[in-house]
Amino acid sequence: MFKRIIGLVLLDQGVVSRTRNFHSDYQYTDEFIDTRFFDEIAFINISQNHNQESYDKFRNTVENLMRDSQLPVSMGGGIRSIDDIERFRLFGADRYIINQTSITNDQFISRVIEIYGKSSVISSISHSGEFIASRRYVSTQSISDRVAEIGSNCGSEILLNSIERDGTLRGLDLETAKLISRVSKAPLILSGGVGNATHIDDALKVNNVVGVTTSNIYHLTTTTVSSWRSSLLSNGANIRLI
Amino acid sequence: MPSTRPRVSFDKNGFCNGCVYNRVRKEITNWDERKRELVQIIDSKKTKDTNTAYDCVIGWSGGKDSSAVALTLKKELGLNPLLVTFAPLIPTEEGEFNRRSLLELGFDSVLISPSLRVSRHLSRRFLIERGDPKIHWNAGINAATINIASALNIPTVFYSEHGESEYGGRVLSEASVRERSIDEILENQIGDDPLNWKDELISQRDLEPYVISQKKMSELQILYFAHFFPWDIVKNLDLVEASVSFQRNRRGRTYGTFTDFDSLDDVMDDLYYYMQYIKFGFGRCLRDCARQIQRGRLSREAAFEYIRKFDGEFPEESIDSLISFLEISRQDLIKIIDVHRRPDIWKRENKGWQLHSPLQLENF
Amino acid sequence: MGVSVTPIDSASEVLSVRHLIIPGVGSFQTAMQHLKQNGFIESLKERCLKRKLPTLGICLGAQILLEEGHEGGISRGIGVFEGTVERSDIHLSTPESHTGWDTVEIVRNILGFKAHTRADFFFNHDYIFVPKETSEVYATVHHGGSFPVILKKYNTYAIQFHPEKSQTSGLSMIRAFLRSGNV
Repeated sequence: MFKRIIGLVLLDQGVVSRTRNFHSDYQYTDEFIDTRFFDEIAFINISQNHNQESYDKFRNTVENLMRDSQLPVSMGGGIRSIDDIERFRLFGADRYIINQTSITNDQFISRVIEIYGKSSVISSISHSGEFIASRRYVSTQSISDRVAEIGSNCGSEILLNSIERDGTLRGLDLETAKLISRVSKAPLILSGGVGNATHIDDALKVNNVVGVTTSNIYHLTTTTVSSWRSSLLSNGANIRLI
Repeated sequence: MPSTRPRVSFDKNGFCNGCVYNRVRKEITNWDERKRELVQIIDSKKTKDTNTAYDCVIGWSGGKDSSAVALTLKKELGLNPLLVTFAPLIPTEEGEFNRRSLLELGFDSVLISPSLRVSRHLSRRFLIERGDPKIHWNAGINAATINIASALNIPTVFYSEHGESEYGGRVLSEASVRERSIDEILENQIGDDPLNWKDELISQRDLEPYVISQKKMSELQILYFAHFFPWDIVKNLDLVEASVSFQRNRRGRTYGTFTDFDSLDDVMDDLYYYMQYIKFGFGRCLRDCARQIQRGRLSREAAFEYIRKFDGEFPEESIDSLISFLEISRQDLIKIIDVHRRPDIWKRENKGWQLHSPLQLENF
Repeated sequence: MGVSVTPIDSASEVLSVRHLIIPGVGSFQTAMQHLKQNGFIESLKERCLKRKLPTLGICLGAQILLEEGHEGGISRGIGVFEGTVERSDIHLSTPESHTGWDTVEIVRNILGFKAHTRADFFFNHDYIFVPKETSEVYATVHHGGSFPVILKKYNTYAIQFHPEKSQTSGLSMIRAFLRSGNV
């Protein structure tokens, strides 16, 4: 099976945003996002307020971007109930990204897996290096402990969300990925820090890593991704030929 | 500062970090101590192998700011700087005149001129895809100083000021206020890694003038002049005009603003700042006014008048030079510009465009 | 693609519509319960086996076309194809969901793809076809073991992957389906 490059579109009240350490710091029109050269698209609703207005704005942008695209779509952002899942499903989601950073969602996720199937769930965990973290603070809990706690209740993949690397262009956190792959067999998707094709190449070579995401607005444009794919393929990376 | 300005942050009283920095931090800084620190810092990096002719490299455009830096370092600290310029995309007469003027006083300089074929291609591509025709130039100005300093073994590099703290933006760390790191360059200055710019017409070798070498950077110290001397763009202008023959904007007033003395060296700046207006809903005038207000030099009422009159002014007289450089037609340029309007900021009205929420004095 | 699409509301529409696509979300058991409640089971069987009209099942929509499914307990499927739908990790050496793009081996000519060629499609499933009739297997994939991913009987196609999420290869397959059937 091929490994994947996932275009991660962060939407704040339906507006495409770039984040740095999860704080939204640059917003842009969605005109320049080209989904064609990705393997999958993920949309995360990062709005502070979750209400009907923000859902409508989210949906409009998603519809706009996916209108002429035939790619798998994942969605996430504030998923806490089956209603939230259904809402995303009606917006066109194939898979759901659910935050499993803290223990509160565990039972809920078992339910979701029961109803929608293991392959429709992606568990995301936010971290800063080897510690669990949120946008406001870094905890003392180790991420490998949390992953062991989750066990097989993780859906089809675990998405490791590096707060520390988010927006830095410095490269993905491969140390933590390797650490986690010693504790769990779950396939991993790495998020946070993609700067150039070499970062992606290095990440896809790590055994359990099945995909990487980028949300940098400049990376979501046509020429950047298509030139990445050419570089990666000529370096022998295990990605599909488009 | 408008909230659409990338990376700006506001405290709970609604002051942007640029204002807070100027009103508060600058007042309490001990500038004599900083000046002494500067001499020590420069000396500390000298060894028997480092360049004996030049004390430092200055990233220099010939404008009032970088020339003021050169003059101050030479006159007040007795340093001999090497001025390094990364060629403007479309040089102006004022720019060339002002550079020559300073060189007449007695400075050495190096001009890095990248391939125009590559520069034009990237400029057009970035204008179309990202709404910024100077992204690669931001990379180049950083790469040029680093490459020259490294090649000539001059371990200290000066930039004028740290935009994020002076004017409002994201301050990466305490250290980043004083020294420029590769993170600062990639994230805040360029927003991308130049290695990503390969395409069918551009190879890795073509990108050489734009690539930032972390290895070279680690051997240099890249400092902000404004960390050591209280930064004041009007005082900079005064100093430069008192020392050399300085040409202000021939038009009398720069497009899109009320000033005639800022950023005069590249015709592309007219489009660069106009795109800022398109993308964020505020332009050069608001930015210049904000800077003056941050320093207590302009009242909000006066600023509002300027903004109402000049912000977002279309650079009509520069269009010919711009489309000639970019090799696109005027209609195509207009079309490209319009695609970058965010629908939550702009709305179509009659045959033109209107901001959803234009500036009101009460909210200002 | 220039085709008009309407969702089906009644069993009679199942019999009359030119081309029918059955997508799939959820689990085998709930899908079958839903179809039973709405009286679709008999009409689907008639459409596929008696009238032999063009029908395309995708992922779960394909799995329910088999006789029996083991997801969430044993439940009866529509039974167009003989065989069962079972957990992948019983048969394959890999325990994980089959999620991602994978290379499909075409065994016999099908929907515009030639035998002995390959194409990439997007998969997302935990259960696999275990059909009885190997002559109905038109394509396979290898993921911890080889298993069938396209079954065909008359004009009914059961496709394990998601052609609607597989860009060009998927689109051409769907186009070929829409042109099929001599209708």
